[in-house]
Amino acid sequence: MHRFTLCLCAVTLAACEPPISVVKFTTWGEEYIEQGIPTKMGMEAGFEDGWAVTFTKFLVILKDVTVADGQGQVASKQPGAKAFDLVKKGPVEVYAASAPAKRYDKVGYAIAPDDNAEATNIEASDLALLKSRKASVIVVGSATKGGVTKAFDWSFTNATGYEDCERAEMGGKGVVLTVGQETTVQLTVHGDHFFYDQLGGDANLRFEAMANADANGDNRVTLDELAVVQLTSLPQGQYGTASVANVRNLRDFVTQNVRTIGHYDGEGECVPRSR
Amino acid sequence: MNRLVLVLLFSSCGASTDQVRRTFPLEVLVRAPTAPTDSGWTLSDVRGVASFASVRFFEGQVLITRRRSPLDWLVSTAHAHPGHYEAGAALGELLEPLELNLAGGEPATWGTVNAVTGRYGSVELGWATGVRVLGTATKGSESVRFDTGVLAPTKPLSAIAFEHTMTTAEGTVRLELDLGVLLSRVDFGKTLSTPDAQGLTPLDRASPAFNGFERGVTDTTSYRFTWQSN
Repeated sequence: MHRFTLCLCAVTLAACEPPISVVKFTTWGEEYIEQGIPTKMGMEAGFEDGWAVTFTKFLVILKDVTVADGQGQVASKQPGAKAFDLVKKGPVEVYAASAPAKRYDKVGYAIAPDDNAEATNIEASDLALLKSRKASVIVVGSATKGGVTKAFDWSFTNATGYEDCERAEMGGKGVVLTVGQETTVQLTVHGDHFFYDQLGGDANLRFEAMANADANGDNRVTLDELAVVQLTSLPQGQYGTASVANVRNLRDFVTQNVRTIGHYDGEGECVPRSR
Repeated sequence: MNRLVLVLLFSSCGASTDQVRRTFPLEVLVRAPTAPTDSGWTLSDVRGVASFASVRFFEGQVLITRRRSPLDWLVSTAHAHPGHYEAGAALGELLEPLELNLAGGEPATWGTVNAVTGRYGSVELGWATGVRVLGTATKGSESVRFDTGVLAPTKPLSAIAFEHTMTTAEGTVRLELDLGVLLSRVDFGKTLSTPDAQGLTPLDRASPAFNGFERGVTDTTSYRFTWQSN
């Protein structure tokens, strides 16, 4: 009798629970991070003001990749944190999860500092750098215009959750796991956002104001130098802060822009929230 | 069989959101500066006029910047994504102009908004003649009687946050214009001009002071929309 009951329960559960499926999360910095951001040419996107940027390091810590249904029931969550150098060729796997095959409306992740982040495609010295600076993101590179080159090495300690991710072009919320199929979702990082000239609405890419911030003329633009540049000293119509309060200088501005770098499957978006 | 048809009808209808026409009053309150500006100026006797042409309420929530695509110029249809501001559907509008006295005081009635119920996310303010602020700025022994001159933005101020689920419940939408935020970036020591015959110092259009004024006027956090239940 008991065995019959157990069997019945098992059959019932099997009938109600969808079969397990696999979702694999990768990350990629696209060509902009791997190869650089060019000067705008005609319809080709790029810097408005003649600059071009290349990155030599784009270090980022990804954590808390979470798959949940519309009611917030978590089906899978990434344990720990992983550090990546997105200048190296991607996409690179972040986390693979098993979950019942069905629709999950709430998918999210975080870019945040983590003392216990594990290395992936990143050099040990770069992982140590992230940890020693308590950083979630470190970007190292240079901008060039004509014969002038300005280097930068910027660290950011922002902790940002990217929640309720949604695919681009009406692709829908979260992810749908299908029986018998491995689904790949890309946690895309947009490196050009550092150079946006607006915090709301449509933005252009600019570096001129940052280049001019190099107060000591050593051809290295530091975050401290950016902090000296008040937005009110820049041309009207550039570096608008829209609905973001208390952004007064270029350092504030680029630090705020860091919160927008996390995306979903290319141009898909998530709701960024400070942690 | 009939019961099954009814269940299916209800389940398919349950996901839809039926909008109901309604109206609600819009009132405006001017908040005087209560703290020194970023550059340490204390403001007093602040007055002037803000001239608006319209208010429109939209469903799109205010989030952050989006990547501009060359295709934007070719595609007229807006796609709403989290993280992007897309106005989305219009849910209400008031097309009466308003000359708002910035000297403040009690909330003033702007008018009645023709609207529908639904989930509101943002507001667009349409300008008429723009905004002009006068007052006195003091820092230490220095005092500047200033006149910003009229700033007439060329396009409406969009993506002002207003998150509210509008039902048929009675209430009022309040717009608070915060002069503290609006003037916070103005450094009255950098007007690039001298006092006129009346002792008023205009802000030169090329000055950092006017730049700060323009940024304050277009800072959407200078304008706060809230729902006030009756």
